Amino acid sequence: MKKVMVGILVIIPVIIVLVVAMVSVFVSMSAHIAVDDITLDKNYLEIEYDSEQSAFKLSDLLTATVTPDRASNKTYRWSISDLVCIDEEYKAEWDAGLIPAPAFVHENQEVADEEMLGDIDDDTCSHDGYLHINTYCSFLLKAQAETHIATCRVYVVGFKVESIKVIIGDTMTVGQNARIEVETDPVEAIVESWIY
Amino acid sequence: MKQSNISWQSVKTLFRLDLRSRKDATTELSHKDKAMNVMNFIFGVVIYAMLVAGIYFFTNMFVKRAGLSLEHFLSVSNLLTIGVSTIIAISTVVKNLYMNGDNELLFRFPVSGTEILIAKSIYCALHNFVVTVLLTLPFHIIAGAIAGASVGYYFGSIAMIIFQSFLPFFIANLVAIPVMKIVNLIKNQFLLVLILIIIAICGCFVIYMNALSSVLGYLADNRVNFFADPTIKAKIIEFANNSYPINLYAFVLVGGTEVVWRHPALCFVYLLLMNGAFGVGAYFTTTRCYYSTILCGIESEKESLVKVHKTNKVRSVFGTLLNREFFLIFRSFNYSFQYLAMACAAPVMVYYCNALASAMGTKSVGTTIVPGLTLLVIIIFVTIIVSFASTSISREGNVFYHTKIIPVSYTTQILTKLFLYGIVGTASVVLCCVTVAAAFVPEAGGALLTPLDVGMIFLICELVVLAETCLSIWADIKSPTFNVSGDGELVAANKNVAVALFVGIFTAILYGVFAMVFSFQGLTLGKMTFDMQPAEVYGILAGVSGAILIASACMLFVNLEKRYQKIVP
Repeated sequence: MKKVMVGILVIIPVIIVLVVAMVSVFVSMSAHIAVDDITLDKNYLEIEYDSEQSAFKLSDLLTATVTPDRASNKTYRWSISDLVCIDEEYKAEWDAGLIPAPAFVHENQEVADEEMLGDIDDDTCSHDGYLHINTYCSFLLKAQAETHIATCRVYVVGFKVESIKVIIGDTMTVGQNARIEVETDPVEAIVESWIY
Repeated sequence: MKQSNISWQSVKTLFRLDLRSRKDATTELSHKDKAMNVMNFIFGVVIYAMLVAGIYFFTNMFVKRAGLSLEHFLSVSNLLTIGVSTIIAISTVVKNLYMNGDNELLFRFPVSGTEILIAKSIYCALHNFVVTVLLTLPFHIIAGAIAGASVGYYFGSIAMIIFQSFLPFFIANLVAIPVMKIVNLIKNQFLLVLILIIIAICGCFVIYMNALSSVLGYLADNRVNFFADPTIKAKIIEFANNSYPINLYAFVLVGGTEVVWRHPALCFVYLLLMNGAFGVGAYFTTTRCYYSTILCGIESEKESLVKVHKTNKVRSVFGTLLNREFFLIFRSFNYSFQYLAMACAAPVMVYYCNALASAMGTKSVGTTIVPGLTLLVIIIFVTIIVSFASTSISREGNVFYHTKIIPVSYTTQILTKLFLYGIVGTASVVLCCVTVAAAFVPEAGGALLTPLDVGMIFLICELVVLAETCLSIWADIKSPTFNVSGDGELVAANKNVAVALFVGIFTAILYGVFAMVFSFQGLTLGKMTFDMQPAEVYGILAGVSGAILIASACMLFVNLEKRYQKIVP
């Protein structure tokens, strides 16, 4: 009797696992399996602004995982919100509708000028889309699968010195001392050495 | 019992008698018994095939994925197999040498204690050899095949496994005496024994589930597994290097010559000396203590009857029958194991099984599958407990006629049994439901179940348990199997137990599959599309279960007096 019971205890978990596996295969073919969740591998991302590279493939930046594995529709779309432009000059022109948004998502790597000037709140792209960055800014990057959303806060920053500005008085007299101040663009640029 | 020199003819006769009694060769086997033996053999082969498959996956994980050397892997696997073989050998030696019921009989034969000891030890040694080979050979062959070992390795493995089989047997003989002393002490402490059995069942099941989980994880995840972590690998290697003296077996087989003390020949000498020491120790311990330990065991058997009850407690007829039925469960380890130990261990087993299957199902098709899965798991485990009811009449054994002459109607007697099994079954279902509710309802547990799910699962399981209990008792009334020899204990599982288990597992799968499949929206079967809400699924299952319960209760109680009267052992 004991041996039979021990044998049954060994077999039962295997039976349960097999039943679950078979039911999973069956329902994935016969029923709609809703998305349970979508997750991103990061919830915070810093991108270094580079004027020479403005388009980033989203799938290279972040990895989204849709669960369950056998969900009927595992596709998801990217969008951005809470966009804040750090560059004041750019912001003024953007507000005037003269230049594209500081950042937006688009299906393609190359975007026509007239498309860039549209409303970015309505912009979404598929999981293969691109993130276009035009200046320093921060925003919330969202991935949505069915009704589930995962977000990642993105900061576009610059560590490379684009330009410097020496701040000093307009005129100086002989024997006068003055303090030289230097302002970098962007302000958070990392400067390792100065030579005067 | 005579005290004289060893007669090898007597040893041979005793050994032959022992083998014949084990194979039931003293009686002519009916076709039914032969079929049962074949079924048992197939069942054993299936279990062993599963074991070999598990060994393959583990070996692959260690040798291929983690990149362990053959030497380190064999050190770890030998430790495992020698450990298991030793536990089995201790159990075999204790059962055959010290606890076997024929000791009392053999003492009256014209044979000496040494001859009995030798005859029984031969059986134990053979049993230990077969167990060691069956356990160790798959590890060695699979590891060799994966690591691409040479032909010589396989021949060496066979020789090493034969050599390896001595150690568990010697240790078992050394350990069996202290084990028997403890067993004789706690033999009549039924509650303590029950608690120990429950702990052992839960512990073994948890280890098994973790192993199964690792295998499933390995199968599902072809990427780098945790064994590939350099720190884990380093720990395994360190453990293998320090697992003395068992790793010496691996060094003999595949050890290098770069480290002097790991030279195969030197390791073999170490092992030879160690085995010799254990063998001599086992010989002297066993030959000197065997006779006294057996006598102590026989004498302590009667200790449970020493307790004197000065006054008989006055109970109602129902209470008396219930009391008797309850204590009948404690009558043997078999009954306690099958019933109370299983009932108490069920919540632990349900939790671990549900956690594993839920993780697998949720990953594959989402959380929708979990309520149906939980229903399947609880019914399947409670089925094991309910199967005990299918021997409720058979367990009466020699005293069955007593149930016919006592001035209590058969219906009342059966009602008592049904009440007891119903109460224990219900308690087990409640415990299982409370466990899954505590584990899977809160946010911390993933909120995989709602309170409604748990409530409905309880209702359905309860109805199923009661229906299965009625059917099990009905089946045993229809065809009981009485053991009229010995003390009447029903040691082997009869066909009613097998049928009850089969029906229970089949019902659990049916219910579980129905609940899991129909919980998904937009299910299309042929040209029909189903959009059932969980409440509707539960409603259907509860309705069906209620109908089955009514039908099974009718089957049990209609014409019960007449059917019971017809039972003849």
